[in-house]
Amino acid sequence: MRTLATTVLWTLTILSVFALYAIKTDTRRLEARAKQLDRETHAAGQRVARLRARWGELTRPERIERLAIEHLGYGPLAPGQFAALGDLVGDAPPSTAPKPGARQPRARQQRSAARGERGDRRIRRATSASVLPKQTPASRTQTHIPAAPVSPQQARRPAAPVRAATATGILAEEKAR
Amino acid sequence: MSQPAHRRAENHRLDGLRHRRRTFGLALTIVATFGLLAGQLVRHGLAERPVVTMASARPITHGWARPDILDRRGRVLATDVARPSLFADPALIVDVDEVIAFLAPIFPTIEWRAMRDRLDNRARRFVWIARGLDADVAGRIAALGLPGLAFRDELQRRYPAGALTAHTVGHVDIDNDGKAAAEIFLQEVIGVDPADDARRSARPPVHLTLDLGVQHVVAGELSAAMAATGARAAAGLIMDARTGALLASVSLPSYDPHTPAKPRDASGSGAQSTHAAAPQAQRADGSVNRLALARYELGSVMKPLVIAAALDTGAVTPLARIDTRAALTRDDFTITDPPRVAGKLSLEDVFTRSSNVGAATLALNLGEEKLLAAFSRLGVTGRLLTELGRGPHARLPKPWRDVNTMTAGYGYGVATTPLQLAAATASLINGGHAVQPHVVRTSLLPPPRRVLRPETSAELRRYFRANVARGTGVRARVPGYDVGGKTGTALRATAGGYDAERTITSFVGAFPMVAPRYVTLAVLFEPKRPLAADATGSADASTTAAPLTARIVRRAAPMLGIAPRRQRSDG
Repeated sequence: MRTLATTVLWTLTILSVFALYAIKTDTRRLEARAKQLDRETHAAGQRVARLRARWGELTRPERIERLAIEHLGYGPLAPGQFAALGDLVGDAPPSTAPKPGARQPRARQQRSAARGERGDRRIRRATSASVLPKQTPASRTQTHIPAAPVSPQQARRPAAPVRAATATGILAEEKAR
Repeated sequence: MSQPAHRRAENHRLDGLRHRRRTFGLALTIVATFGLLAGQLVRHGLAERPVVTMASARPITHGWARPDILDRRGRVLATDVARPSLFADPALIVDVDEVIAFLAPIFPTIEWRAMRDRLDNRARRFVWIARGLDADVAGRIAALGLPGLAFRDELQRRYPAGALTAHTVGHVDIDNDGKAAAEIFLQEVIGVDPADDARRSARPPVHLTLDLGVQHVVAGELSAAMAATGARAAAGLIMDARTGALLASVSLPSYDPHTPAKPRDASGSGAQSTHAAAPQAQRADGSVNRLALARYELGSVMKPLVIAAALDTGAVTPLARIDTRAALTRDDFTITDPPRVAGKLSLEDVFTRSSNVGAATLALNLGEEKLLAAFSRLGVTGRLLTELGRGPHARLPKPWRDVNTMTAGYGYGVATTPLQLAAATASLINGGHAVQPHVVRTSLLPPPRRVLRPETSAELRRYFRANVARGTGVRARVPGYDVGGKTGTALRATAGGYDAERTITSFVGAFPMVAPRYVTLAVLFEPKRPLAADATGSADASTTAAPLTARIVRRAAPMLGIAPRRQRSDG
């Protein structure tokens, strides 16, 4: 009986020694990993801070203004470039005008126009005198294409020509520096 | 001597008993001890590891980790970036000459003779060589493989907007210690963390009330106006009329916050000052925040305060008429109005024609005590503390005589900061509430305090509006934006008098006047030519600061979300 107990205890002792060793090694490994992750987090944080600072430098208002004037032909907003929503509905192009015999009665249309004029307080850029056709994303980008230098390859891809043109311009300008 | 048999047997039994008891006791102790140890192991294994940092030596350098500063839309105005700094351990340097020979071409600005003395001293174990290096420069030096040289990452403050926000955000020294404006406020009020390594602050970013776009517009227009009028300096602001939050706060010339010793033009577009100042004077120039930290006698822009004080105390009624045809004399000092101004004027006429005699008469009617009490209530004679810094005490003539009451009526003798004037003007038009100018969004503001009756404020709003419609401020008119304001042209005070050649022209205004939301202020120092294309002759406030305000409002109002009111006359 005593021998059995001794054997069991010895076995348990040896096993616990191995277990302890394994746990210790594991802990060290995990600690090293935690340290490494901490270092990586720290480094990533520093990189983000650097990139944010760089982003801030690249998006300085005076730089954006210069690029917008050079590449997009934009200028400072003038009071005459504001239009109320009510102005725009009356001048809608034929494509969006109700077809003959459409359900919407004229009175309702006028009501919605009046509502638009009262409700719209947001700043809006009118592209020309008072005509702002209801545009699909593709047609909107197309109106911008002539203002920006676009390569033939980009022109064939109507997905994001404005962004591409702007990015090209900015990269070219960065290279020139 | 032998014991009886039964006694021996008894002893033997007792020995056995004692032995078993000892063995049991020992086993119990061992088990308890191991149990304790095991328990401790488990406890340590489960418990969080305590963070123990031990300084084996005094830290080499003390820096500060500062929270980021953002504008009201979250654009970065100041942030900490880790950059390598180069140091040497003279005890480990093998050949000082070799080190200097390699490093001198990379750092031509270092005084190498003094550096050699420091590097030759083997008793020293730490010498800074260059701090805040670019990564590629550090890489080049590391590639040299010189023994005794090493790098240490340090936090360095970067200001992406540069000179544009320098007077508002401020700057730090080489140890990231706040040295000006909001950076001092950060250090003293919000809190920064000591940093011995390049670990960024975990504090939440600090939001300013500034709008970088509006700031750019104001700085750009001021800079262009400086170039066009030949002015030596300029200052301007756009402030929320109800809360005192500054959306733009500009003082030109500005400086590069990364190298605070060298001032430069904020817009970077090269509005060169034509004033032939010595380089030393120029350097002093850029370091002054003319908006909040310097006091001036601002002239007629103070008249609205006097008119408001006279109305509010009941010294005059809105229907009063003031005869300004006769000259006014006090203490051997006489003032007259030019013939086109003089007449029997209503209060509105005194305002819109900017009559000196009219304003001085009102001030004399009020008397010294009531006038100074009104100035104090409106905050122009105290000292204004903002996150931009501690403003100077307003300067009043000592001793105060009758002539001082008279001249204070039209803005002479009392020197105050342009920011204080703007805050007082905000009270005049916002229904009579005091405002505390501020640039940090979280600032604790004093409880609302009424300093004027709402009727006085409504009357003043009418005068401000009329002045731009048909008075001296007509060039500040912006179609659709309903601007109101007051011009002020003041001779610059010099030792023992006033310099007729040097003027300060200013325009303090507000828009939209129906329910004023923003107060604007534009000040030009020593303009030499008019800004307005249609104006000829002298450069006074109506031809410089008023059209400048119009340009600022035209560009800034859309950014502030104010669409123009549609007027039939505007087409």
